[in-house]
Formats: sequence, C-alpha cells, structure tokens
Amino acid sequence: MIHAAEVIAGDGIPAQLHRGKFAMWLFLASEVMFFTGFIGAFIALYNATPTAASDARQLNANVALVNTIVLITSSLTMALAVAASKRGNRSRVRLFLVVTILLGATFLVIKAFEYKAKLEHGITPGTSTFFSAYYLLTGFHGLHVLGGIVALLWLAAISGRFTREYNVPVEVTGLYWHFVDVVWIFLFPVLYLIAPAG
Amino acid sequence: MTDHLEAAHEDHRKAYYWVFGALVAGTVLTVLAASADVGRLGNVTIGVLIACIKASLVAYFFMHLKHEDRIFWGVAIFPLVLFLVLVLLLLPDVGFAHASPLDDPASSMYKPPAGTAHP
Repeated sequence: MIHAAEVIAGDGIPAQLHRGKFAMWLFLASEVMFFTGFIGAFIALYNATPTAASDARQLNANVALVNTIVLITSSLTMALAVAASKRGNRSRVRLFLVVTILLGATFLVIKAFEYKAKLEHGITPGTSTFFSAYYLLTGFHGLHVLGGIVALLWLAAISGRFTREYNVPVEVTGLYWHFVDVVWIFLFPVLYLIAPAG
Repeated sequence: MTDHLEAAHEDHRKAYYWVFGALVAGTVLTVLAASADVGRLGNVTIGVLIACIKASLVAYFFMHLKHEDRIFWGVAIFPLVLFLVLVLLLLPDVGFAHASPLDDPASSMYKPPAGTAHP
C-alpha cells in the first residue's frame, strides 16, 4: 500500500503515524494480554484436571471447523472492504462490509447452537474446570465478534462518507476484526483438537 | 500516480486470495495433524505451530504489517513476548502436575506430608 503521506514526503518515511491506527494496535496489544490470562488459566486448569481430555473429546470439532472457515472467509471480505475503501469504491465497501457482517452473524448463530447442544446435555461452566475455561474463552471471543459486528454495522451505515483520501475507520475496524479471527485461529486447535477423538 | 495506486491495490487483492487459500489449507492441515499419532504434546505443538503460521499470514497481509513502520511491529511483537513468558512460567506446572515422585507412595522418594505417619 502506498500512503498519501509517503508519496508527498517522497522519501519513503511516513510524515506522521496515523494516530487512530496506532491506537488500535496498542488496544490490540492489550487484547493479546487479556486473552493471554485466560489461555494461561486454561493451560494450568487442563493439566490439573484428570477428566480434561475426556471433557475435551465431548466438543464438536466439526462444528468448530465450519466456524473457522466462516471466520477466515470474513477476514478475506474485510480485507477486500479495506482495499475497496482505498480505491474509493463505496458500493464495494458496503457490499464487502455487509458480507463480513453476515459471516460474523453466521459464526455467532453456529456458536449459539453449539452452546445449546452442550447445555441440553447438562454441560455448563460448572461441570468441570475444562468446561469452565471453554465457556470463558469462547464466551469472551463471541463477545468480541459481537462487538465487531456492531462496529461493522456502524461502518456500513456511514460507508457513503469514505473516499480514496478518508478511509481510516474501515482500516482500523478491519485490524480489530482480523485480530478476533487470529484469536479463533488459536482457540480452534487448543480447545477442540487438544484431545484426539477416541 | 492514480494508475500506480490502482495497480498496487490490484496486486493486494490477488495476495488476499492466496492468503485466504493458505489459511483454509492450514485449517485442513490442522485437522489432519490432530489425528496423527505423535502424542498429546506432539499434537498440541503441531496445532499451535500451524496456528502461528496462519496468524502471521493474517497479520502480515490482512493487517498490513507488511507495509507498516517498525513501531507497529514493536507494538505487535511485545505482547507476544509477554505471552511466551507466561506460558514458559507455567511449564513447571504442566510438567510436574502428575509426575512428582515425592507424591507417589510407591516411589522410594516418597515423602509423607508433615504430621502424618509413614505407611
């Protein structure tokens, strides 16, 4: 990507860091620490619980696989929305944002069915320390997806404002959305594939 | 300049589709690797390594780190170092959770808890 600032400066050094983008990266750094605490708790609890492996085997890896593909696809459409905003193509921005929102909503609906199936089998956060960590990690991740959808809805509503010069909100929201995708990329193998199916 | 910008974005989009393909392939590979008979630690290590590669692809291409200033790399990498520190600090807990001969009555190294008689 060639920033306008770089083109103007002509020396390859950005004239100034974009504050919004930098602030989002700092926020994401704090988010990494937020999830680090939970993943640390998960590692400790998993190894302290004799039933952890049999608990983990009760998770539906196929459903999680579908959700992984859904979220990865939403990351692609988000990246395409950012690229369209940099071209100043507003209709494309809106289209890709709406597709991203729909994919995010699909993820949450699938997740809700997964929770429902677990709860119907009497599996709650109080069942074991493994499921406690499972609900904690996936619950907070789901809330992050929900927050991302709210931000994307707002972006789609104001997408008429974006031009080739003014498109930072799309890029900054995109950073957040990709981060949420990255968290899931780690949760998928760690939670769903940690115990081989028996 | 306009043509140049346009061309740069065209290339981007092509890269995005390649990255997407790699992410899907990585996901399929993760599932296949999970059923490999290399022990639980081996399975987890392979799964997390593939996840690291996938996450790097997302950060480098989708999150534009490829084109960012060094300070963004610093902000991105610093919390990952802290993450590694935390996980490394937990390793003794993981390694010794069920493995201490001091707790095993059958072991010659068994030490009964203070205040209890030796069996």
